Amino acid sequence: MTKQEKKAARSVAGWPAYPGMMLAFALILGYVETLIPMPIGIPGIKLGLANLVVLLTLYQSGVRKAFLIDVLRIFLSGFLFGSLYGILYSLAGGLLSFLAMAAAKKLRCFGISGVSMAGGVFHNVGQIAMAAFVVETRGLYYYLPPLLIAGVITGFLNGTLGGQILSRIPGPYYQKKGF
Amino acid sequence: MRKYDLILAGAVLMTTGVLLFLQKSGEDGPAEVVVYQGRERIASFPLEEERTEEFLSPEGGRNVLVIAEGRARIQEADCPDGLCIRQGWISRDGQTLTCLPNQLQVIIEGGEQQNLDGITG
Repeated sequence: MTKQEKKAARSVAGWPAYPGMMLAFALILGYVETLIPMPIGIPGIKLGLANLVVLLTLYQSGVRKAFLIDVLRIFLSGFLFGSLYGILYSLAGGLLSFLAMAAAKKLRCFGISGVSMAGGVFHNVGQIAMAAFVVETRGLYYYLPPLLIAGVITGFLNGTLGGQILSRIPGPYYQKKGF
Repeated sequence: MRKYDLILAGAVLMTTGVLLFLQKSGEDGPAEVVVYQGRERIASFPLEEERTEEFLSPEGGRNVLVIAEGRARIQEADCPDGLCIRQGWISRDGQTLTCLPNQLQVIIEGGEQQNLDGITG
């Protein structure tokens, strides 16, 4: 971060501006994602691009702001595009995924790919758990294996992407490799 | 990609493998026709044995369940719409026959899985 940017981040307008921008980014990516067709005929599998923003914020600005963005994006995109039940599912996935990512990052032994994979896997676990709670069907148990694998793959993709982005934008990871 | 990232991915994949194995081994049980009255499980029969059973609901509703040739259906009912009869034969895991007026539900548990053409999300 340059001096000017540091000053901007500390300023009265700078504090809400940065999370606001990231929140808008997360919402847009969440929408863009719906335009990408998934070749697999299993409902609930998606890239989780909105989570990429949460991941970036977790690394750039810390746990608090990332949590703020995670919760706000869930409610906003829920009210904008989804339904009340949609928010319920997103919250279950989003909060569990956030906890997993924050914990994985705190442990310091995982790189950004690992943190992101933990997020992806636990997002899907959270959604299945919520679905099982709502509809009480044992058939949901059969969704778990494909969703776990999907969580690892999408988590890895997001983590790799996140690492590349972080090394290219101003911040604590600028021009760093293998974190 | 760090060493622990790989370990994490491996751990999740192994968990998936174990889950798949458990699911496969759980499937092999013989198919059963299970009858629910409201939320209560009142009877179960093997799908392979031919039989005809009559069920009376607490309110006096009547349904006749027929199991024959590895499939099940409601043959007779006194409910006004007869929707349970029109649901026809069921034979695969998870398929159901439902009579809402008499709060009767017949579910196949175990045995051959449903073959889905696809699911839309």
